[in-house]
Amino acid sequence: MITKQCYFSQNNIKHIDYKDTDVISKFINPHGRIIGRKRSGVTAKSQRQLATAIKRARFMALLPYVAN
Amino acid sequence: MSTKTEQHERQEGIQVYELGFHFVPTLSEDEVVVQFSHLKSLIEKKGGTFISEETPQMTKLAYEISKTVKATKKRYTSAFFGWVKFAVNPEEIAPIEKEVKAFESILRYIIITTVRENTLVGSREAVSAATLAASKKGGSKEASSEAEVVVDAVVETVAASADETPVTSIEETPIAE
Repeated sequence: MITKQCYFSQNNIKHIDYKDTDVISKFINPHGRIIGRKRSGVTAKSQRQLATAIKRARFMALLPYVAN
Repeated sequence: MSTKTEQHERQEGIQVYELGFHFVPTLSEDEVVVQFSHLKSLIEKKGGTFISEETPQMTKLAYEISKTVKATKKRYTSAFFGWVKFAVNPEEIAPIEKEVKAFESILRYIIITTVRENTLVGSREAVSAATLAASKKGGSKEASSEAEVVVDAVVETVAASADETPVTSIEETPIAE
C-alpha cells in the first residue's frame, strides 16, 4: 500500500504564497486546472490555501486560466 | 500560528497587507524605479511601515491583459511585476486602494492580507526580502524589542532557506500519484 504524503506538511510550508509559481504550478494539470486532493494527497487545510493561491496567481497572470 | 508580535498588533489594530502589481511594459527601467518609489511613498503617507518588497521585474504574462486609458484600449503580454509587504491600520487600506487604482502605469494589482513572516519558498526572493528588513532594522539600535523579534524571525527563515536540504527537497519532490 502506498501512503500519500502532503507536500506542504512534508516541507513545513505554513502559508502558501500566490507568487510562488514554481511550487503551486506543481498542482495544476496541463490544462491549467487545479489538481484534486484525491490525486495530490494535500491536506484539506493546505488544499484550501492552495486553491486561493492558484486563483490569485491566475488573476495576476502569473498562471494561466486556460492553458493549451 | 500567532506570535507575540501578531497578538500585539491585533490589539493595536494593525494588519499586514501585501500589494502585488504589474506596471505597464512601456515604462523604461528608470521610470519603473521612480513609479515604485512613488507607490511606496503613497503607502508611507498613510502610516504604513514596510516589511519586505521586491522591485518590479519584467515578466511574461500568462495571458493578454488590456487596459483602457482615455478611450484607447491597449493590450499587453508582458509587464513589470513587483510587490510590497507592509503593516498599516485597516482603516487606511481603502484609501490606499483607491489611490493605487488611479495609478495610470499600473496594469493590474492585488491587495491581500498576509502574515509578517516570509511566505515565499523560492530562495531568491526570501533573501532579497530578508536583507531589506535586516538593513532597515539593523541601522537603528533603538529598535523596539518587537522589531528585533521580527528581524530574528527573518534571519531564521534565511538560515532555513540557505540550508541546502529543505530547498532541494522542495524542488525535487514530485506530486504523489
